[in-house]
Formats: sequence, C-alpha cells, structure tokens
Amino acid sequence: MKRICFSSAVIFVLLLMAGCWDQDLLRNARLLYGGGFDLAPDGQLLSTFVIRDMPTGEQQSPKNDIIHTVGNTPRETRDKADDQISRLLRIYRNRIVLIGEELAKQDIYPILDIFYRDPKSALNARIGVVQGLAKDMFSLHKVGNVLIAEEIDELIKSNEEATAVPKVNIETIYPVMMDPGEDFVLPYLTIKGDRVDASRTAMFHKHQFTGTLSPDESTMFLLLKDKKGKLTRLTKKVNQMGQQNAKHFVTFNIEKSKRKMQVLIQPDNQITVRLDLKLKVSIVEYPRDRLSDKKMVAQLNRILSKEMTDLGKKTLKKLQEARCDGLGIGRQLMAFHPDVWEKQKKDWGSNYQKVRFVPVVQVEITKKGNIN
Amino acid sequence: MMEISVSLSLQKNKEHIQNQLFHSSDLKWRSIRFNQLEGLIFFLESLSDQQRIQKEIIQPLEETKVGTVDEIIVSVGIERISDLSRLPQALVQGNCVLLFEGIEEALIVGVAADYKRSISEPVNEGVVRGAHDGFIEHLITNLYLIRKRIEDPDLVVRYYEAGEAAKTKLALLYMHDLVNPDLVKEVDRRLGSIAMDTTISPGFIAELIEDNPFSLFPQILFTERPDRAVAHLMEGRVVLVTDGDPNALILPVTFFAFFQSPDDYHSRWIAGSFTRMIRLMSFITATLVPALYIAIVGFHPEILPSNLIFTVKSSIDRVPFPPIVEALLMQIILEVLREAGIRLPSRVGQTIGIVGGLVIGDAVVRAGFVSYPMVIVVALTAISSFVAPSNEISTATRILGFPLMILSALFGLIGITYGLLFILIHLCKLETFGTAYFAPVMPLRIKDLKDTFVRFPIWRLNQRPHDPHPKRLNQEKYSRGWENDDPGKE
Repeated sequence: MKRICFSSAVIFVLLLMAGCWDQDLLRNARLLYGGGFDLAPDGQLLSTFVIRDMPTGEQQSPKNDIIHTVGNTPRETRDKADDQISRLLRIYRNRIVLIGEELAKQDIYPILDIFYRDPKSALNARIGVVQGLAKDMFSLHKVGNVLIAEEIDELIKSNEEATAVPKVNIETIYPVMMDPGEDFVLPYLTIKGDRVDASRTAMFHKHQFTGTLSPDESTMFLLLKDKKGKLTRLTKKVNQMGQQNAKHFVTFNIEKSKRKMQVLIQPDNQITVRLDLKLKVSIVEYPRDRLSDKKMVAQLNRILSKEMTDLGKKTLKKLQEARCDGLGIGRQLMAFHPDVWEKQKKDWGSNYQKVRFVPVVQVEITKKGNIN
Repeated sequence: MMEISVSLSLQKNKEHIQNQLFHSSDLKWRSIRFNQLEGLIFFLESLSDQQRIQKEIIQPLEETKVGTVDEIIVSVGIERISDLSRLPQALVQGNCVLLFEGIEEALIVGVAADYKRSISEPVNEGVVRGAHDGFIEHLITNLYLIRKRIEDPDLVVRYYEAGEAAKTKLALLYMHDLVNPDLVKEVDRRLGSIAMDTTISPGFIAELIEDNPFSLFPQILFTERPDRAVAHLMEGRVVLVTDGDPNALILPVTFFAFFQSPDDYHSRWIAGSFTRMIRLMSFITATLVPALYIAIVGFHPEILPSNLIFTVKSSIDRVPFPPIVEALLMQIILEVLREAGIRLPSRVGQTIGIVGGLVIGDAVVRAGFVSYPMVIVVALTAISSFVAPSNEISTATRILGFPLMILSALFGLIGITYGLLFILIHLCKLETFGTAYFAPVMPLRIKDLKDTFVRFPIWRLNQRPHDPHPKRLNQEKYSRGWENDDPGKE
C-alpha cells in the first residue's frame, strides 16, 4: 500500500512537472498572415513579415503589423523578427508567401526549405512572384478597406477560379520542383497604383524564375494544361467594321474545354507535341449581334479558332523561350518514350526548346445568350 | 434470539412486551373480554390502522362474546404463535397482538395502516409519448404495476429482506421462461451476503452487489418507469424492487442500455434511431469537447481554419489563465449551479437561473476571466450531458471529462488519444453479473447492433439481445406476414 501511494505520488508530480513542455498557447502567439522575401542590396535576404493582430473589443477591426528584417537565411530573419515583437511569432496560419522578382531569378528552393522542414508550417499557403519588391507590395498596407496580405490572398483565390492564374500552393509545387520532367508556374503580381494586379503567370525553369506570361497567355496556358477554373472569360477582336471600338470585340465564356495531348517522336528524334483543344463557348457580349445567322456563327467560330490557335502558339513559344516545361512534356517522355528521355534528360532545358508544338484550337459557339 | 413461551399470566406478558419495546409511548393496548377471559390488544398507534382494529377485531368479538377467535376476527392476515420474543417484531411491522389470560398463545393480526401517494409520472424520466405512470414508494403497488403489464404465470417474484436491524423488503422479479438461471442464482448469492444494519435506498443495494464499484461507469440501471422495467424483464434480465423507494434496479445491463429511452420505441423507428444517435453523439461531445478545445488552444492551434483562428484568438487574448484553469473553473461553476438548482426550493430556483446564466455567464467573460469560446464549450458540454435518459450516465459523462481535460492539458491530442484508449479498454474489459458491459460491440454481435446505435424497425428485431443469455432468443417472427397474403395481390 505504501509503495503504491509512493509510486502514484511520484507519477502525479512527474506529470505536473513534465506537462506543457511542448505547449504552444494560442494566447501567446503572434500570427503571421503573410511573408515576403527580397534580395537585399548586399546579397542578403530581406524578409517582410505581416502579422495580423486581432483587437479584443468586438467593434474594432483587425490591424497589420509589418516588420522588415535582413539576414542570411529565412530562419535567421524570422528569428530576428521574433526578437523585435512581443510574444512569439507563429507561422502556422500563414496565408501567402511573396517572392521578389530579383530573388526569384536565383534558386528559390533555399527560401522554401524552411516551410517543408517545419512540421507546423502552413503548406497550404499561396505563393507568388512580385514584380519589383515584395516589400513594396506589403507596404501598400491596405487596398480599399482590406488589409494587404488578406487582399492578396483573396485576390489570387478569386483569380484562380477565373482561370487567370495557376492554382498552386507551397505544398503542390514541391513535387514538381523535384521532378526533372516538369516545371512549375506561379502567379505573378504587379502593383498598379495603389492596387495589386494578379492576372499574370511567372514561369520557372527548375528553381529559377525565367519569364512571365500576359493575362491572356496565362489563361491559354491553363487551358492547354487542362486546368480550367470555374469560369474562363476572354475578349477577342473579331472584325474591323464600323466606327465604334466596342463593336469590334466579342466576349465569350469557355463552358467546356477538352484537351488532347500527344507526344510523337519522329524518325529523326524530333519531338512533336500535338495539342488539340476543343472549346465550347457561350457568347456573353457581342454588340454587333446577328448571331441568329448560322453563317455568321460559323464565321465567328472560324475567326475565334484562329485567334485562339495563334494565342496558343504564342503562349507555347514563350514557354519554350523561358525553358519552362509547364505542360510536363518530360514526364510524357519518361512514361511513353523512356529511351528518348534517357538521351535527352541531361540537357532537357535546351532540348525542350527544340520540341515542335502543334496547337490546334477549335472553338464552337454553343450558347448565344438570351436575345438570340 | 432465545425463544420465550407466552406466559399464562396476562400481566407478565404485558410487562414483557412493554419492556421489549422500552415503554415506547406509541404502544397502546385495550382490554377486552371474550369467552369469559380477560384479554388485551396491543398495537403501535403510529403503524396500525385503528379503524381496522375497531371494525375487524373489537366489534366482532364484542358482538359474539363466545366462540373461536380465529373464526370471528375478519382480518385477512392472522397468525397464532407461542413465542413471546417474536411479538415486538410483529408490532413494529404494524400488526396488532391479541393475548388472553390463561392461554399460552398470542394472535397476530395484520392491521397495518397503508399510507401511500398516488401513482404519478416520474419527474426524472419523462417521455413524450407512452405510459405516464411510475413506481411509487410502496412495494406492492410497484409489483402490481409490473404484474399488470405482464399477465403471465412465468413472471416470478421472490421476496428478500435486507438489513439486520431495520429490515427493508426487496422483491426480485424475473421471467422464469427467459432468464438465465445462473444469473438468478448469482443475484441471490450476492443479496444473501448483505450484512448491514440498514439499507436505506436501492443505491445501497446497487453498491453492495455491483461488480466494479471503482469504475466510473454505472453498471446497474435505475428506473422509475414500469414500462422500462417490463421491457428489460422481457429481455431476460432481472429487476429488483425495494420497498420505500420508487427506483427499480435493472441488471445486468450494457453500456448502451443507458442511452435507450422508452421514447425510442414509441415513436417511429426512423425518429427513434435519430434521437438515439443524437444521444450517443452527445455522450461523445460531453466527454470530449472541453478536452479537445484545451488541446487545440494549448498545443495545436494550427488545425483551426484561418478565419476561425483569428476570432478565437481575439477572444482568448485577454484571458489571464491557461486554458485548463479556465475550463476547470467553468466546469466547476456549472456543477455548483446544477447542484444548487436541485437543492433550492423552486421559488428560489429562478434566482439561480438568473445568477448562474446571466451574471456568471456574461460577467465572467466581460471581466476577462474566461473566453467566449470556453463558455460555449462548457455550455455545450452541460447540455449534451443532460441528454442521456439516465441520471447515472449523465453524471458519469461529466466526471469522465475531467481526466481527459487534464490529459489534454498535459499532452495535447496525444493525451486525449491515450485517455480514450484507456477508457475503451476499460469498457471492453468490464463485466457485470457475468455478461459483457460493452456488448454488443465487444464481443461483437452484428445482430444485436440492430438495437444499439440505431433502432431497427421492430419487425426486424427478431431476436432478443444476446448479452443476458436469455433461454429463448427469438421474440418475433414475421409479424408483417399480411404483406404476402394480401387478397388484392395476385
């Protein structure tokens, strides 16, 4: 009995003493909402931390606390930031990571390594490349009435649904980054006045930022990759008739998109990629009207098919110039033509530029709106 | 006790009885003449019905004057004894004692007064639909309520007496054609070993005969509802009814019996299944939610969604205590309020509602002692724990939450996992009266699951639950046979 009492007392005391060794109270945390990384002038890393503080009252709105630190590694800058704030900096609810253009042109993996290594980091945070400095973008503080980091996160989210930028986060780019047969793309953000624009795409080769796609091209790229979002809307010029500018254009939604990709090897080891894209579109704006005429519709189909094919060609050319194998041609070779891949994998970046792309886009108008 | 024969002298007998009852003031006697002999009627005025004595004993004797006493007295219970030492016991049971000069025998006549309340619906076990009668403090009435529902000679009633000084009458009920004879033998054995001066309530009996008094889980089901007792009798279980208490004990029962309510069977099976699932879910909520909240806020805030984490954070930022202190504080306040609510007279009860609900609930947050989410968590826990149709399991649920809360404050989710593991192992290991407590989940019996988490339509419950090992398993076959011999069909 005595021994039982003694041992249970020991266990009880030990429990109380040992408790809380890995306690991480939410109360003591300062939550990071977004982070930015830039290249400091002396080659060091300039990090920006956006901390979201919630007021305790019910009526007040949240506030951002923005901290800049310079250091050699992301972890060092994070520790320096933690030194400058009360309580503990916690990154487990980070929503957005922005990388400055100049830094992205170097290898970006060293910046992201900390996110993959830390089991508590938020891997579902969005990531993007900023034209200029990420620091400048966070320095906008507020866009309209929305705090900056939240605005960027929500903006990218809504643009992902509109097929404007690729839907990626820190977690999903990791396997692609490690894959020799495919490259990843990220949203490319620019500052426009006191607002943020997120409609372009930053192309990467291996771990480096190598070029950007315009808004239309980036939509086309997503269509070619068969990653259509909820909504895809494009406006194209289709004629020159009449005076008024608006009458020259047609705006259409892409309702259904069917992509077929074929990687063919010609006898001379020339790699040809056939990309067939069948688009079913609905016209949402066409002031010239006359869509009840079947001939007119057929003509419009033809013009749009050509326009889109041209856009596809332009997009693919840019991808090749940037050496960005965003469509994963390398993976196709690995799977279906391993012998060719064996020969080409060593210098896949430049071999990829020699690939011949044959995009064929067929547009078919299926809906014309209420008035026709 | 030593046997003392009734003396020939009336005076001696009278003195003996008076001494045995220590000249208690409520001991009364009346002299009477019969067959030319002096006689005395002794009775306790507190226990005997004086009108009955007058009508059934004195009046007939005075009118007849001569004859055989047994034939003249019109009472139902009448006994002749010659042992004087047994008389005091007979008197304290409400009988009256008749003694005559020169006769070495005493007559014991049953004239006990019968004061009892009327049959009413039990307050603690209300139902929406179904019978609204309940057990009362009178054993015979309670037995009547059960017998009336099962008019079957197979229903057996066995009387026991528990308590050495103040005896309590017990009745053990079972269906002879269903019950496992070993079970009856075991209950009989355990009741036989009760050696206690008084057994005040059925709670005493339950505590004395249950298998694991140190377990947090109740192993005997208390009920004030005859329909519930009858349903369990018909499953081959045993029911213990005590005199002087409206609670019947049902044994052996499984963990899931505590979540069954007569309402499940009175409403349609879909509604019954739904409410039963709600009850089981509430059990899980009541035990787990505070622990989970502590673990999340203290160890794993990253699992909260982004929008939620900022709301929660804004509320807990001002709180000066660690979450475990906050939770214990609120839980204890809640228990205090609950206890106070029971004890207070109903007119003051409203005050408790206002003080507890408004003053403490609101002020404690405004003062920054406790956060809003914690108040929500504790309120949710309290409400969920009161969903269970048995008071025993509802208390057990709330007590079960405390060790889990401490574990989660020490080790986070891992602590909760180990705590739950421990509870589950304990549940699986628990046995009551030779049957598995966690049946039909452990040992698994798929057929019995029909009436565990959900209630299948009654025409699908062809077999009784297997856990009390009834003699006959089948209870239903093909009651909807009319569907197949419908004359309208081909």
